[in-house]
Amino acid sequence: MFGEMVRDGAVDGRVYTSREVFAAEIERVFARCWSYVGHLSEIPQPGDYRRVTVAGRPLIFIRHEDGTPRVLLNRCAHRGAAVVGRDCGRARRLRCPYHGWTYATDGALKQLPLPGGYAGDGAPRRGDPAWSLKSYPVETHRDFAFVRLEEPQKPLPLAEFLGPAGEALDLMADRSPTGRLSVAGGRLAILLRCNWKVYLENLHDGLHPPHVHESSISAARAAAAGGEPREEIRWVAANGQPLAAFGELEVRCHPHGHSDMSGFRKEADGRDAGYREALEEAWGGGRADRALTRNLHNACFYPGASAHPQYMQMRRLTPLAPNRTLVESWTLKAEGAPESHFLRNVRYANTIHSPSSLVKPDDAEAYRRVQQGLEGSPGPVSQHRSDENPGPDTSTALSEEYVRSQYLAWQSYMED
Amino acid sequence: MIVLPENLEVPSTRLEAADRVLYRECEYLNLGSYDQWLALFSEDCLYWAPLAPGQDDAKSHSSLFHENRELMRMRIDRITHEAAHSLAGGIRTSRTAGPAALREIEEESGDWIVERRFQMTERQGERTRLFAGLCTYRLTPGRESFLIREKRVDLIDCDQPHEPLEVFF
Ligand code: FES
Ligand SMILES: [Fe+2]
Repeated sequence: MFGEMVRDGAVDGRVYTSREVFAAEIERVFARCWSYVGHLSEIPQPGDYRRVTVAGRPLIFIRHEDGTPRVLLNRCAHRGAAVVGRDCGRARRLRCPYHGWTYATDGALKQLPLPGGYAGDGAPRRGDPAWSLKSYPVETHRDFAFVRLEEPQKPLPLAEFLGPAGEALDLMADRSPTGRLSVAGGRLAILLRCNWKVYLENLHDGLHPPHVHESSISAARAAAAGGEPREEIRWVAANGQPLAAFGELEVRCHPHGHSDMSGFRKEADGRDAGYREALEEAWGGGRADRALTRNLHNACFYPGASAHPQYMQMRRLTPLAPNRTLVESWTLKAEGAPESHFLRNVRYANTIHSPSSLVKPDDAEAYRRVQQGLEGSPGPVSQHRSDENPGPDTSTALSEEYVRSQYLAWQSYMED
Repeated sequence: MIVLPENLEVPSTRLEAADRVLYRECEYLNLGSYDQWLALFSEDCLYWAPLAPGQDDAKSHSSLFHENRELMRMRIDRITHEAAHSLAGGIRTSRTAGPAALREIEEESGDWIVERRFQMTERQGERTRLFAGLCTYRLTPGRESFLIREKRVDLIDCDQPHEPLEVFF
């Protein structure tokens, strides 16, 4: 029934507003896809953990004593209390604050007070998997860890799920001659008053900047009038390029709703002494050159993550309600890359991903207006815009091809 | 009136001058008189709202706000632009400040480091929000008054998710 809400390049407005659709999306789309849960550098040592919420489930992303990353349900097997209360920390054992059931870092039940006091068949016993913290499959791609919470009809390994979209993660890891990255510089988090899909549908939208971003473009132009503008001003001003230039940006649509766009906000990153050579030594010339020059903007791992390799940004989207979405972003630091790149990327994060960004409020307002306009009315929402010369697998930032591709994936998940 | 540390004496005219700057800083923002507000700051000024509690570095760690005069100017130009869609419904803010305390007078620069607690209520469209925290000012003495060289705002919930933050605290 949900599948019928998508037809002929248009969707029913209720996909953005209905509680029923939202609840189904959490179970059928978010729980069954590979979701970005964190980077391995966030849990470097055994026992290091972070709390994460994916598909409405409270989770613990933790490094087990054998060194492997695990994702556990943060729900005590006794009466259900959240075992971990801090956002992050290090622990050899996880002890529930309610009655003291204690678990290993892989979730196994290790201790329970008064062990003789649990009577009857099937009563909780030490080491019994039925009375452990529930554990989920985790897979990594270049140290980016993904979790899958429910088994879909046709489960795919992470590599197959990501397919060509995984390139964005490779480009980030390849910016380090050792391939090692670490999350650094804190987490920026912004709350949006819109459905999660409204946010994703903006990722490669080259038609909106002149309208939505008029105020920040104008402010940046005034600031740039004095001469060579500093990069923060340049990044804001980039939205002011003519529509024809957005029509030059190549958008690729990948299977499973993923997509990316090349060419927006380009930096010349190969000039630091010794850096290019170190990358060439590590990865070979072609791959090193790609890492430095290929600029994928807002690469999307449908439904819940997005990366911007040139500025080493990773983002996770968390749907909170039909009209509420949380977007978090992190900067990754590449071992062996120039410090100046990292410092620039932190400034980039401040400029573009902070809640105080000069660009973001008008985007957020446009999303909110979409949500407002759609509330309570079932009419169609158009996603018909096409390029004049659409290619078989590529389009441009002036086409809504990537939105239609997101809905193809949505439909297949929702009907599964 | 600014609270002084023990064993420090400052001429009352200086204290009054600092007090006036702090009063205006808050009130110009409440009134939306951004040009007058910016004129209270020095050329090399900084407006900084850290992202993490106790954050001591703004270069290798992200911030909620980290703006020099040029970027502060750009923010003002944006929020006063007629096409700032997010502000189409208007924005009203009210900041109240607790007593200011002079922490120290830096020997080398002569700058005054002054702190005060603040609360801000913001009304934008149909939403009302509350912010609270500590403001730390670096005041550079001039002949008659002071210029603000740095305003640092430590929100009590700086590390939590926020809806867009558009105006200065
Ligand atoms: S709920 Fe955890 S020990 Fe009782
Ligand atoms: Fe935008």
